[in-house]
Amino acid sequence: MFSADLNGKVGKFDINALLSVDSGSCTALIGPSGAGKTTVLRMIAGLHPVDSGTIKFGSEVWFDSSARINLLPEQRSVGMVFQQFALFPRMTAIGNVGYPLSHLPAVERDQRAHELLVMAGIESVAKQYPSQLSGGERQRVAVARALAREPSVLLLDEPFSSLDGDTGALLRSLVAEKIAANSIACIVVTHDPADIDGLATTTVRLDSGDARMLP
Amino acid sequence: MSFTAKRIGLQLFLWTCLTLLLLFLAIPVVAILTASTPNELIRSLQDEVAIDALLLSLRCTLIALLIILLVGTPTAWLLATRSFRGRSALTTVIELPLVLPPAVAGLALLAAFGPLGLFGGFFESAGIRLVLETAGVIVALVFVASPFYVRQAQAAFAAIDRETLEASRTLGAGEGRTFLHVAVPTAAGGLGSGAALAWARALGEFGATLMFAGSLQSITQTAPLAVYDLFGTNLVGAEALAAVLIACSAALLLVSKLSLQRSGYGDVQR
Amino acid sequence: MRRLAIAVLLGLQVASTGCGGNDGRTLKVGAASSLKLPLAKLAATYPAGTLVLESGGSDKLAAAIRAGRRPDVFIAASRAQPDSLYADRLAGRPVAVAGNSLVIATRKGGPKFGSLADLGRRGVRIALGSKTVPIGAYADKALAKLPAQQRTAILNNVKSREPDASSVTAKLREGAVDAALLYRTDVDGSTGTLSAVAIPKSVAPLVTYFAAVVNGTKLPNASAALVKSLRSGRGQSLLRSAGFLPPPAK
Repeated sequence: MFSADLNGKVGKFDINALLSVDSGSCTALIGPSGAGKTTVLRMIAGLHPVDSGTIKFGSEVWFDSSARINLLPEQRSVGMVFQQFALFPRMTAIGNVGYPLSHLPAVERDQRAHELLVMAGIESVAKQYPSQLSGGERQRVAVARALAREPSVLLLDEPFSSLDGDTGALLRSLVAEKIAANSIACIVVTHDPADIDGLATTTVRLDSGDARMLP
Repeated sequence: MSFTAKRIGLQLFLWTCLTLLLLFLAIPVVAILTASTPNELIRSLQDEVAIDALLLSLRCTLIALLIILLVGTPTAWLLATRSFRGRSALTTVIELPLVLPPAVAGLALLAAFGPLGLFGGFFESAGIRLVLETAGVIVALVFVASPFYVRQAQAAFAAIDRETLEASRTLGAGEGRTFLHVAVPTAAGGLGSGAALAWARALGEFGATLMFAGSLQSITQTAPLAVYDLFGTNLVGAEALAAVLIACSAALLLVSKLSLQRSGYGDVQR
Repeated sequence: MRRLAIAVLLGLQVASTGCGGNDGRTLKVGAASSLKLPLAKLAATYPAGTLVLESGGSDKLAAAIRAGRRPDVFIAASRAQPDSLYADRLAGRPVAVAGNSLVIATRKGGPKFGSLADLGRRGVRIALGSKTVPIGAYADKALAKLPAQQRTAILNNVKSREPDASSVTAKLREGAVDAALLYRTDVDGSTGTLSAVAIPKSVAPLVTYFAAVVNGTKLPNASAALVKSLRSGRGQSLLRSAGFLPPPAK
């Protein structure tokens, strides 16, 4: 069970968001552009300052302003897919996906990375660099990379926007499978109804920094 | 004047400027390289003074470069990734040797680390000798060349997309791992370019070295100092050594440019 | 405003005289660095800006003359370069204008040396002129007259061979070295910071300064007049009061 009570600022305006997501399920975060959806994800990941509130996963406290707890991003068990993918330009696709697995011996790391690439349908470009891949391929590498870490919380920022209908469905079911299998709490920022229908079980709307759960 | 005539006039003017500047910069270099016959040049280079000078230059510039890379890279990283009050002032101090005349740099080093300087007594009691020693040459080289690297490295790190570094953190890597495995490889083109420039500057350093470290064959007489010494009585020898320095500097400059160009392929935009 | 305009014009004029040609009024002198002080005093007796002095190692000044960068008068600290230029028809017959003595120079307050042999002690640091500049060549001459062991010990202690006498003096004054072989006038002109120990006559070289008019000068009369002044006129008195010896009688 993931819960976040976030109070902070981005630029000039305030953000006040209250979220809770069951493990093994996905919540969609929707709202008009500029409402601060990406910022909420960044706050959860530890990339954006939170003035007051708490962020917890189960019994793990990642952030608690009153107790002065503020874990660094690398200490939080998150996996994040950025809107611009943020792939490492000097690593191959398989290098990117294997990056969070550096604590494993090389053979096992390559094997697991390869598996994820297969599941995402891009094993043929494993040895290519991001600059050589299409937009859709890069996005799939980004998703595979976030999943590779086997995080407790998955943060997706418009993760299937560059994919066509069939590939999008493939990735959606891959993510749904992983979420269920590993009891991941997932938040997906999206404009796409297919995401809301196919992946999320609840929806939260963010309007000018304020978040309300929707029925 | 008709539109076409104006256009032609402008083209002519632009290309004339380019040609003039090119000739002005290239002719002295060509003149040195052709002042003596290749045989004369090669024979002069076999002279002990020339060989010692070139070997010393190689040794000192490499050590200086190593120091600059080891200390300058984390410095550049810090300056590029943190914004804090006084950052501009700090950066200005680091870049100061860029605009200091070399003789002034030499004087400053003496005032700081010379035997009668600010830290002179401290070094003496610690048994460290800089002035008139090879170590002093390296100190002078690090002083004048480090801003060439730090400035370029800082720009290279600052040019990395912030999200790329953040992604690394969300994948479990701390700042150290992010620096080593993501930042440095991504910025490699700019880092290499800065290193080549710093090396070239160190290779050509004269004034600060002469004033601070002195001039003695195989101890402190680097190639540029040897050129000056040879100029008095052995013009061909001076020209030969100068030709070698020109060739090395040109090669390093080329490496610097190519390195920077290659880094252009490192950026991945959506 | 007018002052500014005049200053700019004067500046341009001075700058243009530096551009390789005489405007007919400025005498350019290239002289050994040990002559800087007395020659600066001499320049002060000329109308402002009409005598310009460049000082440096005699060998480098001569090399510049060969490369085409020519003053009107060249004064070296030994006869080697002027003779060489004369032989190559780049300058007129050299005239002896002054003498000097080579001494062991030390810093007041620093280690003391009684003789050349002391310079060979372990741990002593010495600066000399480079082999091709007169102050260095004279030092080599003196050392050559010493017994081999002494000479080797001293040479082992040499930590720098500087391009001219001023640089040698600088290294001594800043404490980089304990002793140097310099001209007596360098010590005298150091306003009390250096002291001199004489070198025995058997070893001391004969130091003579030679002046020559550079061929192709646009001011042959003024140049010749300057050389004469240095040998026996106002220039000579300034040299003598700065501690230089008279030129050899020949």
